[in-house]
Amino acid sequence: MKKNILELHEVSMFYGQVKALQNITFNVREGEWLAIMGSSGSGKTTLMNIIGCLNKATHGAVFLDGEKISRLNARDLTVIRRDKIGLIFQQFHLISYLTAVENVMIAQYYHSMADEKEALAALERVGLGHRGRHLPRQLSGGEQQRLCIARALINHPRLILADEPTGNLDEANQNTVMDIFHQLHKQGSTIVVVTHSPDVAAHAQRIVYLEFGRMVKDVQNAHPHGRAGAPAEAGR
Amino acid sequence: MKKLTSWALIRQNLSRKPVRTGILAVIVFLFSFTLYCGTVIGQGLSQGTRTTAERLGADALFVPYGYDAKVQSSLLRGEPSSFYMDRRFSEEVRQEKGVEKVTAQLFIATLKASCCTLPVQLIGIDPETDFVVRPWMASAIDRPMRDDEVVVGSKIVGQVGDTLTLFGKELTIAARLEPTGMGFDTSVFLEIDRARRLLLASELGPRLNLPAGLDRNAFVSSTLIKAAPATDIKELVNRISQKYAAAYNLDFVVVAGMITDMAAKLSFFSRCIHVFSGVLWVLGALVMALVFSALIRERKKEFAVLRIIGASRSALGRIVMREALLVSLSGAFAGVAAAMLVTTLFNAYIGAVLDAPSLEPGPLYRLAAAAGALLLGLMTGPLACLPAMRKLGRIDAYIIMREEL
Repeated sequence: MKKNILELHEVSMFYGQVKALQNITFNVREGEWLAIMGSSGSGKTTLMNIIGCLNKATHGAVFLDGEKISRLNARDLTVIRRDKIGLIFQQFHLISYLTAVENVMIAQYYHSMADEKEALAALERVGLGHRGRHLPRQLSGGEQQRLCIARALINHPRLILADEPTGNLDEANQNTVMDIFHQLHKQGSTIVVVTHSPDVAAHAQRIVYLEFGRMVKDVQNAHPHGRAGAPAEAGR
Repeated sequence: MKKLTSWALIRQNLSRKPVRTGILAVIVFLFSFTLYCGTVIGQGLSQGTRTTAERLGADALFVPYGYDAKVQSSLLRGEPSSFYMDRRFSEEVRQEKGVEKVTAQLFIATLKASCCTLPVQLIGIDPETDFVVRPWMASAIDRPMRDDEVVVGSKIVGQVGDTLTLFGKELTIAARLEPTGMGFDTSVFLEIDRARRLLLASELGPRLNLPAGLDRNAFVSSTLIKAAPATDIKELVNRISQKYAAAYNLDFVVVAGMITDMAAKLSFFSRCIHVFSGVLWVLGALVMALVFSALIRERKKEFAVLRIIGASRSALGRIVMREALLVSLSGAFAGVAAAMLVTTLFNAYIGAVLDAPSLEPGPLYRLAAAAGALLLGLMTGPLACLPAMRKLGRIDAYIIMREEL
């Protein structure tokens, strides 16, 4: 049985009187594809914030790759985020004055050492090998998202964390991006996708549902990729 | 293969906003320029004043009535002028109690001289009694000047051994004096009787308009007095004036007073420059702080992305600090280089504008001033960006990213 990459135990997040998250508990196994689903205000963002080492839970424990990250300081969280997590955003968040290859290299630079050859190879993998010298504004939305994925993957993260990765894309580009996710999953990557879209969530092996800061369902998707059948209930 | 380093990122970011970068660099440029110019010009003037006092060696000068300002202009800035008084005064005043040394000088303004494109001041000195120029001349020439020789100030064109044509006579340059910052630098020195003979033999001679009763063979321009130790100079000058002023139509200049006036003017100038530099620095630093603060706001998203891909807060701080340093470096270097050029080219002109003798400070002083101006200029940017860096520390990357949604 594969080991857990991510473990959340009774995680809660309070902003004063506001309970953004309450007692969230689930695990993600190595190589698993998990979707976190919920409507606006359900606590998805807060949860992604905590898993992505961008914030710390008020209560509970979070383990990433066996390391308890819930009590680490900001500096150590930065190191964990840099070394173990690849983040993908709905808005791409690329550096506007750097070319596509430089946007990938900058992630290498802060991780270890920038290597243009490797960065170009990463762009090649997402079908952007020919667009390496272009600035983000010269790329289409789908290309920018693929560039964002190449950047997230360049340091071989243990966990790929994607926030509404197809939110800004048309259907054709959505399919391209989801195809890349499938390839990554096939290659053994662990993927956590935060989304409000049932279509995107349907690609995952497992779906965690949030409502008003509480986890209401954790289901195994018997037929991922939304090919057939409804998701089956799974125990926590 | 292209190399990506934080310096490359910084250069890229600075060059994509040339106007903003230029404005920041100009602020540092102005500060460094003002600081260097102020320091070096102030030092040049102060050195010039000190040298004037040392070189002059006299405590008081007596000149024909109404020529006190002319003699100061001539001594301090070398403005050519001619005025005449009776030589007998210098012989009589020697007998006065409290007078240690007395010498006379003859000032002749040439309107044309082959040596210079500008008129020069001829100063005739008495080799028997001179205590003003000779001690200083001794380092340039260790023998008495011959009748056909002159000694020139540091700014007179021509080499030792060259000839100058003065009033139709060819005279050989026997020596060149060290720079003084005074009018002596643009003067030509010769023996007083030779100077008088030259003037009388020239085409000006017959038309020379000497004051009534002045012997054509015994006129001078000024009488310089050195007081005996422990003598009250003011009292001595008043006593001499009361006794001789009417008979010889005299005016006087107390050197200490002249130097004190200059020193006061210099001190005011120096204070103004330093206050101005200080105000400029504070204003510059404030403007830079505001610009950096706006810059952090504008680049909040970029910094948030860098944070998310693994840049630590200190790494972001280093980016901002290095940008500030690079801008300051370019501004400070350009400012100091321009200031060095301006002070070297216009030192004498600045002295003339400020109505004070000016001596260009030595290379070591200028180097130290350049290093100081450079260092303070360099510090401007990094210090100004400190408040902005505190903002940087408060960047909550993920929240900023979500704000974009």
